Amino acid sequence: MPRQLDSIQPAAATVAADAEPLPDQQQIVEWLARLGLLNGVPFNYLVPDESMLPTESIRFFQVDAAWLVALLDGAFSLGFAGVTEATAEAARPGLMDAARTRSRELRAGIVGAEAPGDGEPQPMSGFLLRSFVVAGWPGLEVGGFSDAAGQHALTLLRMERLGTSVLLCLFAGVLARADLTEPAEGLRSGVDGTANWTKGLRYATATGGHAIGDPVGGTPVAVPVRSGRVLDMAGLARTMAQTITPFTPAQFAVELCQGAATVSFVAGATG
Amino acid sequence: MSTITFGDHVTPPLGAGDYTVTVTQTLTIGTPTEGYRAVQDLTVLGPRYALAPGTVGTLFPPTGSQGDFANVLPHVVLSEPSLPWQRSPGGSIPGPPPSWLAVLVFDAADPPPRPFAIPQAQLAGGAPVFAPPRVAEQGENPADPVTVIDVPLPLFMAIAPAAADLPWLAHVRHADVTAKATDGDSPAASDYAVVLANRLPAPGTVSTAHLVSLEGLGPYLAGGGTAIPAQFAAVRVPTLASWSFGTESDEETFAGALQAVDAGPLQRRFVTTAAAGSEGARSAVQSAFGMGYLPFDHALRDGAATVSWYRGPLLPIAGGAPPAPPFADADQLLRYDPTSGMLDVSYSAAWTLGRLLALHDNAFATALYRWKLTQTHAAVAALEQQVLDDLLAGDSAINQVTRAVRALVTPALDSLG
Repeated sequence: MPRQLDSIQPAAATVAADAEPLPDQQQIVEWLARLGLLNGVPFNYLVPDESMLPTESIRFFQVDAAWLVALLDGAFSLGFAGVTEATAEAARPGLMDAARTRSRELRAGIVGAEAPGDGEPQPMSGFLLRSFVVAGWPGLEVGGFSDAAGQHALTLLRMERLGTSVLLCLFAGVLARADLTEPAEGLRSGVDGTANWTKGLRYATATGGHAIGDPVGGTPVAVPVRSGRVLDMAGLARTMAQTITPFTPAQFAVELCQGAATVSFVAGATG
Repeated sequence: MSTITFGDHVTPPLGAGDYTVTVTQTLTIGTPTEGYRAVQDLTVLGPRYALAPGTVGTLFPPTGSQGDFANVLPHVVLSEPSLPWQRSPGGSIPGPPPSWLAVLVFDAADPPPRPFAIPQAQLAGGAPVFAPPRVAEQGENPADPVTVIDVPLPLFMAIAPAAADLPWLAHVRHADVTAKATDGDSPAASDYAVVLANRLPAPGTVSTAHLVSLEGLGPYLAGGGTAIPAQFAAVRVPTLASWSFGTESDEETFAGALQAVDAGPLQRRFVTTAAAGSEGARSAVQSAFGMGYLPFDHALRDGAATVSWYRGPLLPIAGGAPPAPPFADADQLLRYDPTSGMLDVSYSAAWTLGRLLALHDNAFATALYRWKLTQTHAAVAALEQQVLDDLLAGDSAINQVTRAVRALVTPALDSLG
């Protein structure tokens, strides 16, 4: 059935040109930066024995700088021949420093975060999580801290799933505490109580000194029920709209949201 | 730590369906006016009876999980934020745009209808199974299978959302990806649509949820204005995803699962058996395990077999100072422990792995070779330049003669003035 067409926005006609190959030095720095974050290192080199990472476990580690030096030197050793050695050697420290700096920026570039500033070269550390949580909550969020109180956040350098149920996280600095939070997009929605359900209201706009999500207080609204446990969603929305203005499906979602769970692990404490 | 933004709905610029573009041009040259007209048909395809893999992100409560979900509305997270508004349930529903997708929750006692596949041609139903009128779309094949459920009419009217509920059952979430895992070089998706159920799961039993299409069913829902005729006993709805979960009090929630996770440093646990070895050997092995080492069989180059220590880059303790490169070969990095007579092959293995990974990546290996060659050429050129400079600026015999002559001749010329 033909419909009325109001207007059509022509899409900008852009054709992506083939990416210009990077200059050699940049390409080498990029490659070494990735290797420096253990990209491409086979899993059995990282965890040589399955008993080190049993199912349903989280294992903390510090990255051995010497191992990385050996790994990067092995990669850099290609193409050595006679006279080349001395000259390439002279350029090595600069190249390796550039790779180290670049490996700190890689993740920030991918997720669109602000790149961490150049700091002192820091030791890397992190954790491996092997659990059904990795598969069950794909958007799982992670924060790392250098103190057990969770005051000083560490920069996340790499966070990637190695297989369906194993998660690798690398931080700049020595990790003392890791916080794992339920994915924000998967926040559960629900009501309070076990029967005669109610719902405490939250502010949905930041006005009058209230932040979004602050409880309004007062009596929670009764959740109207059509029959049994089938809720009258439109009726609930109408009730909420009397207190919360403006009221749209987004505000409705905010009102129904239940908090995300966070679980903290302190490195060094054995469980 | 991270933020989330809620949105009402994302309506696609064009919903799925057939469109006709008509262009008319009127030319006036002199008195006769001529009109030109061009007509172009176009079809916007959208998911209708099946979703592409990966579209369904999170199912909540997770498939097969057990937990205290009795006051939680099950939901589906869709990775395509405009999906719930790409089609329409039909009818006139006041308020914000209604969603054509809904989550139906069935109790074990209902019982949940069994999904089955039929060809699209049979979607129209027929007494006693009701299906809303449907228009075939471009690219559809009557033989394509569709997974459907037949829901008894009284049950459907009781648990399906009312027409007025539909605008409130879906919304959009925009998540912050800075604390999420990356997939190679791609960040996690940040925009999602969420479709909520309208029924709470029954406690102490197993519930089944279906993500269903209500396309065309809008007028027949509660409050939709049209009643399903009495000769029908069931309603046929296409199901796009389904899953089951338990609501027994057993906690398998996110927090519950993580609290049960065993935490510790990355090392092999030392399990002692009194019969194995001497006290000294046991404590040596235990301290090696504590430093992340594991023993591995090692075939030596001369054919002998031994056992050597290996540990990866991820240590349970802080590592030592790195050795100073370069290393001519992997053997330079072998460490020998004179007390046990065992080798530590860790760094040697790392060096070899680095070399193999570099060799494996043709582009990198070529770039590295070219770069080293350029460094050499630059060095050779610099050396050549220096030799020339030395020759030209240095005190060669000819320069000395020239200067001596100039020193003699200049005052003579001056005196001649």
